Amino acid sequence: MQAITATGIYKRFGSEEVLSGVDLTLQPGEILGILGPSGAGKTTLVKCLLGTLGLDGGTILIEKTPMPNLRMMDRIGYMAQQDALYEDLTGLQNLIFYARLKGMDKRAAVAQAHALMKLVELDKDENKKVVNYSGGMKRRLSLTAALIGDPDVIVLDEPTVGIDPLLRELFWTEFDRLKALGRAIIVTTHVMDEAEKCDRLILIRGGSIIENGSPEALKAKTEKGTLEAAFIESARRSGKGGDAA
Amino acid sequence: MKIFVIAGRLIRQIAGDKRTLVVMLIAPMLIMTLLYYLLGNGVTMAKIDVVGSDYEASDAMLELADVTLVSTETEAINRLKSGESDGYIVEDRYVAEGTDPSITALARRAFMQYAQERNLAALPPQMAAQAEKLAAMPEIELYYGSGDYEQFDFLAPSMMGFIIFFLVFLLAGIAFLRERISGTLDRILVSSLRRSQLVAGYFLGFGVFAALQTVVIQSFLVYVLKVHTQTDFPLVLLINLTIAGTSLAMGTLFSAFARNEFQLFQFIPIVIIPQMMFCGLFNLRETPLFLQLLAKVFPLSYGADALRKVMLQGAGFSDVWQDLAIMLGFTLLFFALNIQVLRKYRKL
Repeated sequence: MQAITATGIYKRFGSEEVLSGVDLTLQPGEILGILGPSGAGKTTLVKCLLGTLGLDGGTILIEKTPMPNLRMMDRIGYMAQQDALYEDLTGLQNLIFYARLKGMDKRAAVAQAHALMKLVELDKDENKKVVNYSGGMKRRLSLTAALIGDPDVIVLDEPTVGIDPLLRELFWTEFDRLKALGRAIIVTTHVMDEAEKCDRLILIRGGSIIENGSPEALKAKTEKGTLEAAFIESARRSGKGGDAA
Repeated sequence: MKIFVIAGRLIRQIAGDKRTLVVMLIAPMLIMTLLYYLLGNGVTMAKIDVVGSDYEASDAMLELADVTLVSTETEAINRLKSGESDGYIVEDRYVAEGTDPSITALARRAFMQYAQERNLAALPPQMAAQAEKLAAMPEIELYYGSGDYEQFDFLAPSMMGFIIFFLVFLLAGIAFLRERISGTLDRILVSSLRRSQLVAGYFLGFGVFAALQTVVIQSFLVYVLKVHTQTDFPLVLLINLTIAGTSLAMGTLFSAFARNEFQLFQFIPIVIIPQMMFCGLFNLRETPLFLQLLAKVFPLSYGADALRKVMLQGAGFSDVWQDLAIMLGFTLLFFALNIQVLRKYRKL
């Protein structure tokens, strides 16, 4: 069974068509990279998949359930481009809050929050207010907030923007661990070397998918053998121009 | 249950934020204290100069004015210009400074007393006694309140309602706005939390602090500033909580139309200032009809009306339930609109 099945997604903001008939699927235990330049429609696509943005056309199924569906919402973990944390609460309080919203009881929420803080090496700072965290610590906490409640589908919108290479490595180790646990993961990025770590990539430009395949298959389509070249050639072939929101 | 999760988080946030606590609890006391001294120590006597050397002010005159004898009109004019007097009397002329209507009214009362005494003095003694009897002030009974009511006593209920409304609007609006601009709203909506639960959680969380704020302001007014009040404490608390509820609903709703704090502040002249104008601080009795009708669309006019009835006239619940019902109606309307506005973020 597919974790996500999206068919013919259309989204307009006013008269501007931001997504034009996007189809995609995602299997459990797969990392899908959504690759595209800033403004290509990646975040809009992500928000449509999450159910936090209404569709102007098309359907989205999580497993077999049409979205948006409140019950399924608890089975999705989301890390936004912004840290999306309460800075006047401690790191631990943030995680417990998000866990309780996912329907976990207090005891389980506290236990998992401790475990996740340890996983991203924030356990020593778990009782510090987030306002006193560094940028990297906030990104780590933001990632754990997406993992709270053991979601089946994890959507990470530009998770590694603005973080150092060591932390990026830590993140990708964690993504691989989650993949091995059978989680379905979506990662949006515009960094090509990071995209290579995904199992499958969709290249999005001007609100349409212009390529869909494994990094190796995409690279094989171009003489230079790089994702960047594959992306540029695909963009030229598709004739897609203008960036979207 | 999730309502309590939202409310609990808000309570933890506010309780840990000393600045917000100060704004909610200490600032109203400071404002009330300033108003108490400003309004309680207003000008009650005119400063009148009498040009001449043989005038001796009566007790009745001294109750109305601080009288000074000057030798020439030029001296009286100079004193008036320098602010040392509010007016002067020279022979049959009565001259008031004239820029401040309230001071002019005080001067006018003193002039009338002076004129009356002078006219009486000109009458034969027999007629003078009779005329004095005719001119005597009748004894006035007060249906509500008491003779020692000051201006602050009258304005305190309206001011209390306005301060609660203003602070709750601002703090709730900013809190909800931050939820959106920090991205936490997007994240919390990726859960089974319903939009109505989110709004209700905000009501509950802020409601706790609004109740605390109300108790603090009320206690300060009654027990520290010793404002004259006819009321029972719980009914005023209920009215204030109703005001806070409406304000909370308005604050969170209007924050949806602002992209940052600055834009939220731009609602103050449109939403807050009219509430102040129509909350009873100004008497609308002789204003144009459209203005009196306009007052009815501002929720605080009902809340302040209820506070005045209860605190000044000793009204009970049966006298103010309609005001409370209208406020509740406004609250439910804004609550429902807020849930609709949140559809922008998630349809469910």
